[in-house]
Amino acid sequence: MAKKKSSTKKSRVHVISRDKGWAVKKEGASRATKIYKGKDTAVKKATKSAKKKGGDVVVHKRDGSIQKWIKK
Amino acid sequence: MAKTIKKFDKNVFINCPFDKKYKPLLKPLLFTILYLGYQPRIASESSDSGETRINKIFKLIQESKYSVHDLSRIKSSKKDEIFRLNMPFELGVDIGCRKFKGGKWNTKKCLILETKPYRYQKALSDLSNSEIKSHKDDPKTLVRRVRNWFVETMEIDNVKSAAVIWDNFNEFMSDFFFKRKKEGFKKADLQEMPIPEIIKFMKDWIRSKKEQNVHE
Repeated sequence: MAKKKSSTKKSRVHVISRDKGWAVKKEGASRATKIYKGKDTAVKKATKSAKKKGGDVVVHKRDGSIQKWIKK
Repeated sequence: MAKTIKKFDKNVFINCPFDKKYKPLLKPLLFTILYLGYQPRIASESSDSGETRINKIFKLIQESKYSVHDLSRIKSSKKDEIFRLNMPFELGVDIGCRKFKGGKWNTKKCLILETKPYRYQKALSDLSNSEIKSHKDDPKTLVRRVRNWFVETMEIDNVKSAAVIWDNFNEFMSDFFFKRKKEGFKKADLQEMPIPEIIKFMKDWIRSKKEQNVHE
């Protein structure tokens, strides 16, 4: 069976707390892709974006720590 | 001697609670100071049981030109909880050092933080009319307040925005979590990791991130 390729750091997508909601941000990008009011929506959008690039989704808590790590 | 003075100009004495409740604020605070190129100094950076805590504090205050004092625990949060006096006491020692020690200590500068604006005036009216910044117990606000204070006080320019520092902190947290897990650290190891160890990881991460940006 072919071994699953591990996702690179650059293809990670983060869901980060913002003043006005939750940002979806690609690792290393200078700006967030978009800010969503609800965290659930942000996680869904991040998962969709990460799927395209074969990356993981890192969902952060309000304090920046890790809430969930969704592997590709 | 020159080395001591050089370090003095970069050292930031951190006077804040070190309890579990404050941890969500402590990590972004340390990260922001390191990101700006300064060195946070905290009482728990060394644990020599033979040295009394107060002597350690005196030493840190004397070795640091800058300080961040968080007075957000001046009010107890539940019935029968005793409010914390360490922070206002250490702030007093720091201001005393600046006022009476003379020499380079006259140049000391401090940032005082609180959860809510003006609340401190009821507990510490001697500080009325002092400029105190409130962080609302929110890590993003704390990063912004600290970053802006450094920019205003040190008159440094070309500093990344608070939003960029906050995003970097989040990326650091994911790298930290990922790498340490791979190295066999368990959740409890990460939660109870000594502050100096976290500071070292933050420093290494920021250094490599900045080098990476130069080469890109």
